[in-house]
Amino acid sequence: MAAVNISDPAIHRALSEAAKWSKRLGILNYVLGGLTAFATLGALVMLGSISAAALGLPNEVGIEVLAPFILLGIAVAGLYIYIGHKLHRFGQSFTMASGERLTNARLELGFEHFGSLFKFAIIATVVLTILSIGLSLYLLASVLA
Amino acid sequence: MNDEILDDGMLGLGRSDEELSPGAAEAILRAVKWGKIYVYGFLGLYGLQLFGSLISGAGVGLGETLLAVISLTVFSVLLFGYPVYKFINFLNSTPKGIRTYDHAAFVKGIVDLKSSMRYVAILIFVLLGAYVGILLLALLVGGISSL
Repeated sequence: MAAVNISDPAIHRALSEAAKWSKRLGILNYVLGGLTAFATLGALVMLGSISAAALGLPNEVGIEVLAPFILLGIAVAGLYIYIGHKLHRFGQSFTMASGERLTNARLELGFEHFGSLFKFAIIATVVLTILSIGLSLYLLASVLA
Repeated sequence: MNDEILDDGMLGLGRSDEELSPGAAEAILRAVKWGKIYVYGFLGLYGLQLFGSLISGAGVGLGETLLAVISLTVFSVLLFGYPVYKFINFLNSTPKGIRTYDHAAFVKGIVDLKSSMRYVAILIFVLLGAYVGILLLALLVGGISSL
């Protein structure tokens, strides 16, 4: 199909460098995912308590109303973690020992991970957008009721 | 794998590992396809958001809103323009290299992917570092003022 010479050292160097940064970005995404879950939980509990107190209701009522939003926070955290995982796998696919050469198997594996990263990000973004609109409508209905 | 045993007993690369295989090319093209949907979709939505801000803010004050939207656009381009440009180069150059058997275009695409990834990683690390620095500063100021 293609007359691209993958034994070119320029490709090897570029992919090794990309792999290094990709692995670091992957680890960063794991951390950001954890922090997002933690921050969402804290913010929602605080917001629920404040809203309930303002309406003269017990704390639990406010937290119950906002509870479904915790799902959204966990889903966003999951998105970060999955993307981090795929970035890390992409990086691992191109991590080569000194003297080792790039193979088609490595290229195929690495770019499979890279492609599934974008595919998942697109699908998850659409699902999360629909979920957040739905939850906002639910919150509006709860407040009006 | 296309590895083979060399005369000296070492594991070597097969002849077919000198050239890009159809399987690897397909994987790259699939990744590029999803990457294009993601990047162009993101840019389109970002443009739509800016347009929405302009429309919704026009009632309050068109001049101020326009200034805010232009400032935000300039800031975004300064910060993310380079990696987005490099990534779009990767998305266009790599498949072109595969389809037209152009080795130079393929290499350019891969090098652009590397540049884009390195820039984004460094940028995120710098921004997170600045954020942590500001938080620590706030804690320090809070601590001193409570003394």
